[in-house]
Amino acid sequence: MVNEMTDAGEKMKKSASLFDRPGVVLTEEQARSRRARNIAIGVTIALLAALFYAVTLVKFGAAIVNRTI
Amino acid sequence: MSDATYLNDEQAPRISVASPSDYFALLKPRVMSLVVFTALAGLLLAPTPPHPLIGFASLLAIAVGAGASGALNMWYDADIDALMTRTRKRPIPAGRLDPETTLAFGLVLATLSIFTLGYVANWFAAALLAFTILFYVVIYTIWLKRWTPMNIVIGGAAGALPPMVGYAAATGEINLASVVLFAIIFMWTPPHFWSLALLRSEDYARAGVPMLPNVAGEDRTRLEILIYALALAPLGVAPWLMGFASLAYGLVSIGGGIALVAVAAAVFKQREGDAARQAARRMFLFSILYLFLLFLVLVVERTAHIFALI
Repeated sequence: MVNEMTDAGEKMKKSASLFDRPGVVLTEEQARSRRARNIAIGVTIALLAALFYAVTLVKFGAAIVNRTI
Repeated sequence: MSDATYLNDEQAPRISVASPSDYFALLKPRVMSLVVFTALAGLLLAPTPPHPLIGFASLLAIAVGAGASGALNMWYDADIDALMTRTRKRPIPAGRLDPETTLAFGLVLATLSIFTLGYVANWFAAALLAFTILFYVVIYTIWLKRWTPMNIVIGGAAGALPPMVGYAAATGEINLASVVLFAIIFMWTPPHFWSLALLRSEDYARAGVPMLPNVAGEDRTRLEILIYALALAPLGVAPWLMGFASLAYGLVSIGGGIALVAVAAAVFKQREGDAARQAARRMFLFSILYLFLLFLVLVVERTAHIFALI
């Protein structure tokens, strides 16, 4: 009985230590390159959205104002 | 070093350290700039030029499509790129990017470029762009490149298509003038790359790529370069003779064509030592200048024509 309780306590300690682990910790180089990639993707998507918006306006032409208000 | 500990390197998650510039390198920027330039010439040939923003967005889509082709080429050719001095610093052989990421990047860009061109211009141009990408990746890279010394002759069609895609983006169709521009680049490609192959024959041999000098010999390659230059020179004059380029273009193309044949003749004559390498290098560089000049004159005079219309 005492042994079983000790085992259960050990298991709890082990599982708690799993949560305490730092997990995936990026090196400085990895973090820097990921940030650079994220910025590049963000800027690209923003520019693409702006381009599609502007192209849509041009394709509509004067018809863009032809709507009921 | 990370604070996280792993039993061995295989357990550690593979976290990329690739920078945006590595992804940009996958697009083969120098090839892309040539594609943009020649597509612009095709686009400007249109009787009624498109709205500048539509033209810009179309060229951007064509450029990204060319970049996607480059990325997919680097994905498939990573094994031979690692063996050649000229290509071993590319992102995959250098270990900065993995093949799976490159494949995904290429496929996403290819899809994006085709649908963007379809939306901003028309679906005929988009289909032509899709065909160009497919031709470069499947016909040239996967099939012809490692199989036949004629790889560059047939595969060159992919690099020659951008003026037709540009014209199609502006008009929704193709015409004879855009086909002539296609033919000029198509005939230009073999002597250009064979002069490079003469300089890098050891590289190609090490990688097992059957370029003409390795398969048919250097003498045969020199003869082929001269034959193609002789065919290209009059073809380069065709835009003026057919009336869609000015006298200025005619003079540049005649002068450039004569010089190109002279440089090719020097490659044919000089067969040994440094003189032979110098001649091949001169042919490689002059062929770039020749094509650049022809398209520059076309772009400048078509731009002037459009401004005169406005």
